Amino acid sequence: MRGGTSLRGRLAATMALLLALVLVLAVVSATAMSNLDRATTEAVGSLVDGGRLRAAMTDAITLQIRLADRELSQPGPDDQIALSALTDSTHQLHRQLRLLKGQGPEDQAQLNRISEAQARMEVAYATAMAWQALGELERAAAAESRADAEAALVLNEVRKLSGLQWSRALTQADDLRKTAARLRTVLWALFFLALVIGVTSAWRTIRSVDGPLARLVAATQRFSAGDLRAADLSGMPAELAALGSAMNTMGGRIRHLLAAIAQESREIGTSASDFSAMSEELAATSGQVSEAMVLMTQAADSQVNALREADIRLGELRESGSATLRAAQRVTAVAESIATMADDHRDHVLAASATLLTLRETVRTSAIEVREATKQADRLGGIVERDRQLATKLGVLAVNTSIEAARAGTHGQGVAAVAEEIRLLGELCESVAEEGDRAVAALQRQVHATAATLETGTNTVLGIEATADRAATALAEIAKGIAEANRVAGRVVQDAAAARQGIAAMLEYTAAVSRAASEHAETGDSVSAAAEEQAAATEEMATAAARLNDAAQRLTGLLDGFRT
Amino acid sequence: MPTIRPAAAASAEDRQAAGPFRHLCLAIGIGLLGACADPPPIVIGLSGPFANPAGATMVQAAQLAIDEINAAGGLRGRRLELAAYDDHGNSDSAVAVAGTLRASTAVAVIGHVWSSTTLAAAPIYGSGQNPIAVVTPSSSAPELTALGPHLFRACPTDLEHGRALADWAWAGLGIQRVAVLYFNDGYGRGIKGAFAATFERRGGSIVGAFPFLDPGTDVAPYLDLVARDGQAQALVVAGSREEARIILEQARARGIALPVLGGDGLEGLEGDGPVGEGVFISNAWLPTEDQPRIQKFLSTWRLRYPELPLPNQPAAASYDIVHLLAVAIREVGTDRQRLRAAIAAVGQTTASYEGVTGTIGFTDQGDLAGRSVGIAVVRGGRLERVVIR
Repeated sequence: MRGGTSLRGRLAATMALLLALVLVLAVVSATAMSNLDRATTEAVGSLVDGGRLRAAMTDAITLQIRLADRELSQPGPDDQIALSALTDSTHQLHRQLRLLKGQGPEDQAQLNRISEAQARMEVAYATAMAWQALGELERAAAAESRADAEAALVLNEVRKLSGLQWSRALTQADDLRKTAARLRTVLWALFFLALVIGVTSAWRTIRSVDGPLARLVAATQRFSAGDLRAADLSGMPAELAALGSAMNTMGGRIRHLLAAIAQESREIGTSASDFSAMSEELAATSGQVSEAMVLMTQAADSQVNALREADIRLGELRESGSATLRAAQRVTAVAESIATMADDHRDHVLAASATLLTLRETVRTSAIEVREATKQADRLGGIVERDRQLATKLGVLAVNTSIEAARAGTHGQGVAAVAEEIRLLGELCESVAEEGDRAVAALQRQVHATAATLETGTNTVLGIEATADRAATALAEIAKGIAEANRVAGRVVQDAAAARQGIAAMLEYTAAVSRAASEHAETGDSVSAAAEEQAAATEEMATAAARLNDAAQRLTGLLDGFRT
Repeated sequence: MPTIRPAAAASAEDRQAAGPFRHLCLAIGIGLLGACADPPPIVIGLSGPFANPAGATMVQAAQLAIDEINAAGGLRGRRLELAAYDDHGNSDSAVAVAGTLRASTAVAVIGHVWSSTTLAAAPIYGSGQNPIAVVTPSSSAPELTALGPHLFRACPTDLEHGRALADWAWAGLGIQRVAVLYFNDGYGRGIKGAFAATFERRGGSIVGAFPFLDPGTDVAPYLDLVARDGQAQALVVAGSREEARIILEQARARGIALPVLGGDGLEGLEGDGPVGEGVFISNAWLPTEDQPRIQKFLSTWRLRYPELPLPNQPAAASYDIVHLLAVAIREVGTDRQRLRAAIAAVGQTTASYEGVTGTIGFTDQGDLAGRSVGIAVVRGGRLERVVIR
């Protein structure tokens, strides 16, 4: 069998071969039997026809002899007519005998002898009759005698022909028997040949199918056991080759799929490791954020406390300003009163000096309060500076948090929100610090100016004891000085009012900073809570990454069971 | 000139060579010859009584046709060759010749001349594993009609001869009673039967029908009866030229001066001297006919065979048959059965052959179709046509 042909083709070829053998056997048998039958029929037919014709010829010749004898003994026209017709009939029989099938040259030669003898017999009878008609009886008798001899010869030749044809019939029968025996042998030989060819062909067909089928089954079992190597399809029938090819294709696809899965599992393991590391980093970052938030909350609390202290101090400063204002107003009133009294009552200069001393003390006290206010303003500037530092740290913290959130991807969205809040808090702190800075600067300028004024007043009042005596004389100057003091006091009143306004604004700023600090503290708490949640999520992520890694390892382990 | 083989010798030779060894040697020989020599010739068999005047010139006529064909290039690249066998006018010899030719490489046979020999040989030609077609130039017995699918004839049957003779006797000569002397074979009986049927149908009567085999001894009582009775107004002789001459001599010796009529077997009687004068002979072809085709043939004949007499009907018909076979071989090749079918188709599905003897076409029973018979009379040593065919 040739490799690669289809199973159907092989089976069809085998069946066709078997059918062809059966057909050939049948055709040979039928043909042989037909030939034998035809030969037998011809032989029997020829024998029967020959026997019938010879019998008819014998009868005709016998009748011809009898009629001729009667014509010779009792001439009559009827017998002549009958004899003529019988002669023609005998020659027709003779012709039919010549045309019998299966006649050989010996038969034709025998027929020639019969025909010639019969012709001689007829001529002899005819001449005998003519001689008799002429009255030549001896010649007639002689001719009749020749005719009888020829008649006997004709009949003898016919018998010879019968013997010849019987002999040939026996020979033909013997030939037919031999032919039948030969045919039987040939048919048996053909039958055994067909049997051998058929069995061989069937065996070869079964072997050609069974071998590839067993190989295919073995390959299938290998597949089922995980050995996905391609099956050998050489020499397989087309159908099995197609099946094996499909199985190989499937195995190839599975091999590619397993390779892809292995690659993916490795990448998943790597990603899980990265994810785990990133979770750890994120957890660490969350701790830092928490610490930063704690610090920020503490800073905010400190800021609130400082601002509350500042608020208190500012309240005191406001009170002090109010007192300064009232003192300035009272100084003005006193100065006016002093001027009036100086004008009216020189004696009252001493009293005025005493009053000036009191004033000096008041101014000194105001100066002390102004210096205290200056200190508070400077302290407030420090608070603002710490606020700025806090804003800077918040900004740095927001940036770091954003970076970590970006690393965490979708898992870092919460962190990103926190980072945004931190950034906004930083910006708010920065804004508050700037506003506080500007307010403190203005406050310091006013306080310094007030301090300078108070210093001048103090310096002015310091010589009052020495000059009290010269006060009376210098009442005019005093009045002038008081006018100047009044002007300055007016100015102090203005400055005190401005300072009060600035303090009020600073109080508002301080309140806002305090609120912001409170919000910072609250936000820090939220950030801390978010950081804790993030830490918990990070732990979950780490756990998931570990499970993912375990799954990837198990998958890799499973793939190790396949041979590709 | 072809080799004319004795029938008996040829038969023994062929029987000896008919075995498997001969076929093997022949096959090997043909293979060797085919590799290094010209292709083998195409053989046409011929048989007849070559020593008898009736068949004396048929070999030469057939050879003349073969030479003409070979001179024109042969057939299908092969030469044509004649294998002639003498049957001596004997039925047994004819049977032996038939067996020999059937076993030979001949593709067809021309023969035999007499109806009796053809009647004996035809079954041999038509039997066996590879039968061979035979075309007789002159066997006219009605018994040959439908004798087998392999037998054809290029001459009219005795029915035509007998009918023409009867018509001439009745209408031409005004004869009402005749005596018939016939050679007791197929030919003689055929002429006798056909003549009698037509003559009696016209109203005439047959006062005596006398068979003979040896005219020297057999016809004496018949002629005596005819002379004594005096009823017969004419004699019809159905036999050969020699037999007719003997009968005429005996009749003249007895003072019988009746008109004599005979079939084509008497052809040549005009050369036997005064004994034949006045004899009416039916014939299918005469060399004296003034037709261009015939005269051309005779001119060629005279050039080729100046020492021989003019060809008779069997010779002219043999000449025609060779050319007819050449046409068929050229058309279908040399396979015997295909050739037989081609011969049978001539005049039916294929064109008739226009030969020296006239138009040749065959009926489905193998007879010549549509050929009439004329009547000639021997006058001055020549045959003169009295009834145009």
